[in-house]
Amino acid sequence: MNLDKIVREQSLIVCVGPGGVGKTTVSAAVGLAGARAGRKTVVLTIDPARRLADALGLPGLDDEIRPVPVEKLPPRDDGGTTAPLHAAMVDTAASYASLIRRISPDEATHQRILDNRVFQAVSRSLARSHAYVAMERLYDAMQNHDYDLVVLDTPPARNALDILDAPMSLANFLDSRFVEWFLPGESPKGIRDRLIASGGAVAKRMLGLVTGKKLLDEIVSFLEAFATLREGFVARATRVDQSLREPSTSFVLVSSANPASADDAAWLRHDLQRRKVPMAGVVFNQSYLPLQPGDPLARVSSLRDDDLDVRAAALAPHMAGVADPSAVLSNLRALRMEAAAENARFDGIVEGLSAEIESGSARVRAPRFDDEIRDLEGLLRLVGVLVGG
Amino acid sequence: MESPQSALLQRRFVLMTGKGGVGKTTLVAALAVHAASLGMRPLVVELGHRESMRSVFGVDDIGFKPRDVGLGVHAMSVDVDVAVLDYMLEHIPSKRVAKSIVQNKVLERLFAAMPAVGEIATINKLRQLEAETLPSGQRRWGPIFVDLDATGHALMFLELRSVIDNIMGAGPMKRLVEETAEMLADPDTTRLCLVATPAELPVTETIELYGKLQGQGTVTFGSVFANRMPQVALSDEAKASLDQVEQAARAVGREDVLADVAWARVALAQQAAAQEQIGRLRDNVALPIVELPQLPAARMDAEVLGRLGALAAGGAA
Repeated sequence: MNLDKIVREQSLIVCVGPGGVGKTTVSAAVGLAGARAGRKTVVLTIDPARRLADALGLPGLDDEIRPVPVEKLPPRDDGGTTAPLHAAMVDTAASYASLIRRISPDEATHQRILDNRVFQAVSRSLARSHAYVAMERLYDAMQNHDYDLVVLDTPPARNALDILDAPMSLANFLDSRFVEWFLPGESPKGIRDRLIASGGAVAKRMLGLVTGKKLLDEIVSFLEAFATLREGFVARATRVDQSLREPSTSFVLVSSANPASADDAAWLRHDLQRRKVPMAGVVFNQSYLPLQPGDPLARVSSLRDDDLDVRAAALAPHMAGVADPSAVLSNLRALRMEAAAENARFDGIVEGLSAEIESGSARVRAPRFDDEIRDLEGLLRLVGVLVGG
Repeated sequence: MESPQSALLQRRFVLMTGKGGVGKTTLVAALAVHAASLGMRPLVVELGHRESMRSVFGVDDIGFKPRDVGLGVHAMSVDVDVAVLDYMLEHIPSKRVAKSIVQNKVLERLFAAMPAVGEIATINKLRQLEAETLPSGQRRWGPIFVDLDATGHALMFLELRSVIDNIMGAGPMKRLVEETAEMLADPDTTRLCLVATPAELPVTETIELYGKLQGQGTVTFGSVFANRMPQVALSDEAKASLDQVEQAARAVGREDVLADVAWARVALAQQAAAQEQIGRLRDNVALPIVELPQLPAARMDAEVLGRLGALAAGGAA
C-alpha cells in the first residue's frame, strides 16, 4: 500500500519516530493529504512549535480542536473538494486534568484526587504521562467526533513501548488485586484471600521501611481515591488499546537520513515488529538536499567538475569585478559537489533502513526544503511529495 | 591533568540534556573518548531502555553493569526496574522478601506508575558508581557522563528533592535524595550541560530549561553545546561574487553554474538562520556557548569522535 492509499482508506494513522526528524510537520502534512482527499480529518500533535501553527495557518495551537483554514488553498487540480481539517496540540497537564474530571463519579472524589500529593507527583512525571495523554485525546477525538481520519503525532520515542503500553499501564495500575493489597477492606475470607492480605501486609511494612510511612500513607490514599475511577478508566483504556490494533489503523515511521536517527528508527521498527504491529510505511524526511533549482524533487548524488577551463573562459568576460573567476567558479562547484556527496551518504543510510522494512510497506523520501515550512502552501508542497500529485 | 582545556572533565558528574535528535548521545560518546585519551576513566550512563551507545560504539549489548565499549570508555544503561530491585536488595534486611517484593507483578505496577521510586533508585545507583574505588584507593570512574534522555526528564531528576519533600517523611529514601541533591548542586562535583542544534525548537527548549533551573540552586550549569553548526566552505571572494556569477551564467546560458549559485545561496541562508538561532541562545542564556560543526552524515570512527570530543571539551566549562 502506498501512502496515498493509506491516507485515503485508513481511519487512524499513528506517526512514530525519533525526535528531531520533523515528525510533527509530516503528521500535519499527512492530515492535510487526508483532507485534500476529501476526508474529514483531525491532526493531534504534541509538539508546541509555533511554526507548526503557522504552517497550518492558525494563530496558535492548543488543547482545543480548531478548524484549519484549508479554504485558503488553491483548488485541487482534479476539481475535487477539500474536506474540513482540524488540529489540536495535546497539552499534557490540561488533558490529564480533564481526564480525571471526566471519569470522576462526583466532585468530592475529583477534588480528593487532585489534592493527593502522590497524584501530583505522578502528574509531574512528564516522560511517562505524555504518551498516555496523547492516547486519551485520541479516544476523545474518535469517540466524540465524526472524523473519517485521525492522524496522531506521538512523542519522540526510541521504542514503541510507551505508545503501545500507555493505554493499559494506568489501568493495570488500578488492577483489583493491587487495590486489595493496599486497601483495608472487609476481613479476608478463605485461605487465598488471607494469603493475599498477609502478603500485602508484609509488602506494606517493607515498603514503609524504605519509603517512610508518610509516603506510604499517601500512596494508600491515592489508591483509595483512584479505585473509584477504575471502571471508567479500564473501559477507556481498553477501547484505545483496541483501536490501535485494528486493521484500519496504520503506523507510519518517520525518520531522517541522519545516522543516529536512522539507528533509532530501526530500533523502533524492531520493537513494533516484536509486538506484531505492522509498519505501513516509512517517510524519510529531510533525506536529501535539493540541488537542481528547476526541479526541487530531483535527487543529485554525484557531480563532477570536468570543464572548469571551458566554464571560466566563457564566464570570465562577464565577471569584470572578480579577481579570480576560475577560483570562484571552482569554489562554488566544489560546494555543490560536497552537497551531492552528502546526498550519496544519505542514500546509503536510507537504503540501510529500507532493507529492514517489510517489502510491502510504503517508502517515501522528502527533500530538505530550502526554507522551513511556514504556511499552508508550504505544507502542501510536502503533501505533494508524500502522496504525489 | 588539571588544565583549563578540560575543566568540564574534572567534574565527577557531567549531566547532558537536550531535545531528542540534537546529537546528545554522539556528543557524550565524543567527550568520553576524549577523556579516555587524556588517561581518565570515563563512564557513560544512559537512563531508560535506550542503549543508544550500542550503535555509537558498535557493541551488542549494554546492561546494568559498566562494560568496556572500546576506546577506553565504559558504558552502562540504567533500567528503572533493575535499579529498583538493586535498591530494595540494599535496603530490605531479608533478600528473599526484597526479591519477592520486586518480582511481584502487582508491586511492579506500583513502581511503573510511581515516578519518584524509579528516579530514587536511579540516583542510588549513580551514588554507588561515584563511590566505587580501585584497589589503589582512587575513584574507579571519572568523569561519569549521564545522558538524560529528554529535557522533561532532566527536570524531574533535578527537582526530585522538591517533589518528594512534601510526601516523604524521614527515612533512608529521604536521606538519599537529600545527599544526592547536595552532590548535584555542588559546582565542583556536577555540571549540567545543555545541547541544542541551531533550530527554533531546540533553542526554545534550551532557553526554557535554563530559565526554569537557573537560580534554583539544584545544579550548576556547564556549557551550552551548539551542535551541527552549518559550515559553508566558500571564500570571501566567492561569497561577494554571487550576483556577478549569476549574471554571467545567465548571459552565457550555463544552467549548471546557476545551480551552483542557487545552492551557495541556500547554504549561506541556512548558515545565517543558524547564526540567528545562536543569537537567541546568546541573548537568553548566560552560559558559554561552544559551537560544534555539522559533520558529514556518516557513522563516526574513533578518530572523528576523539576530535569532536576535544573540540567540545576545549572551552567547555
